[in-house]
Amino acid sequence: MITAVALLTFAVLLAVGAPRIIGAGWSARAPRLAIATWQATSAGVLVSVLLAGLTLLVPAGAISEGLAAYLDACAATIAAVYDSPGQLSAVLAGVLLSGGMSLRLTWVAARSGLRNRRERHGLRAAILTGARRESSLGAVVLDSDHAAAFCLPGRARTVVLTTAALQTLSAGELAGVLAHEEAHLRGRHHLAVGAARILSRAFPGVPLFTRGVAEIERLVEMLADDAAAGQVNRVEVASALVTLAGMRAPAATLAAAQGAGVLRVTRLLRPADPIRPLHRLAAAAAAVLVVTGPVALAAWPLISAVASGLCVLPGADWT
Amino acid sequence: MAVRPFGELEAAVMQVLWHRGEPATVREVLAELAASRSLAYTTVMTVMDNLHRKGALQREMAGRAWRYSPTRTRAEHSAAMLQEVLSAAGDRDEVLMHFVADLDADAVASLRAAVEAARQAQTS
Repeated sequence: MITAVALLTFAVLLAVGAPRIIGAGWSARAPRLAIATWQATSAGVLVSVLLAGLTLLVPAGAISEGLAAYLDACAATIAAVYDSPGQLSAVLAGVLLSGGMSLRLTWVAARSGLRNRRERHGLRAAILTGARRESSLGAVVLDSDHAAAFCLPGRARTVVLTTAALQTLSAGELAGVLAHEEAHLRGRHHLAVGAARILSRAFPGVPLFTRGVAEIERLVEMLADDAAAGQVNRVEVASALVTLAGMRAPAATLAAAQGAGVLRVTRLLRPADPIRPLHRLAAAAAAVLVVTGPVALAAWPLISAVASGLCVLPGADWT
Repeated sequence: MAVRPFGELEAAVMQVLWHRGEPATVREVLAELAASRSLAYTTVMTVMDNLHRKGALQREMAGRAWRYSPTRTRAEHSAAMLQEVLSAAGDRDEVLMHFVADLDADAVASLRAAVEAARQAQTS
């Protein structure tokens, strides 16, 4: 019971408090590490809730009395559960927490997967009717006076450019755009975004998941910018962003979106120093701890029982 | 009129008509499609009738048969499709990742100046 409460407290603290720390300014200087930290923290919350549910299902005294007793206790508990209201509510809460969460997640993931597949199929049919493949660019070219460049991730991944984009962009800028899109496809960035979306859709209102989607979308763009900057002149990548933004019909721009756009360009022009190794190590350690921590917490009673020597496996002679 | 993506067979019919560049009867379209797949006359007729009903094809009676031609050129179609797709799927990064930054005219102007300054600094 105490373990379950501790695990749930940990999950709530992570879900509410972690966004402040991971969403801080350092993320733009180490996008890959920041994405990994978001993902690990999300996994940490899920694992904590899952284990909290499972520990409620384990009868309290059973494990500390060894595995043989556990089997007896197991049978006894199943019998006891139904006429003991206190136990029953614990078991119900356990089933609701771990089973409910897993089912909800599976359901939303399956639905999103189907929807994405359908949309991807429709998009491909819509876009590629009337497009021509330009193998020198490794891209598909669409006749349009609207300057646009994008990629369609998935099995038949494609980079798409419009004729207007080809006319507008200089050779250097074009190389930057292509490298950026290739980085998206190579890194399978759509999977990171998709997973974050599934979480926020399955458990709406959780700050970690809501903020996580927006951050991961922003960070994968920076990751692709950095990859492109490694292959072509980084000023050309920045220039391509400004050129294409300038070609767009002036529409109402959200201040937050605008801030993200400005940051992308300025960090390409004036790359900040990478974060210090110590900081990097701390973030990586935290990412590992948020997942292994709950597991250790949940397994603690079992470990302490084995260590005490009271817990003897049937048939094993350890003396 | 909202533009809708074509189904697979619809797209094949449109490709044939765009490629020919002149009106064609159902039988002529069938003959070109038959090279790569086996289709019934009535299937192609239904598809082309649907495309006409949706406004993608226009037709005129020539002799005893309808002759069909696309209402939009290939370029017009893909341009319209593109607008539709980018406005609808713009926020769906799982299916389409768009190379774009949201910047208003002022931001574009000041960032353009910053880019040019950086370019100067690199070449000098």
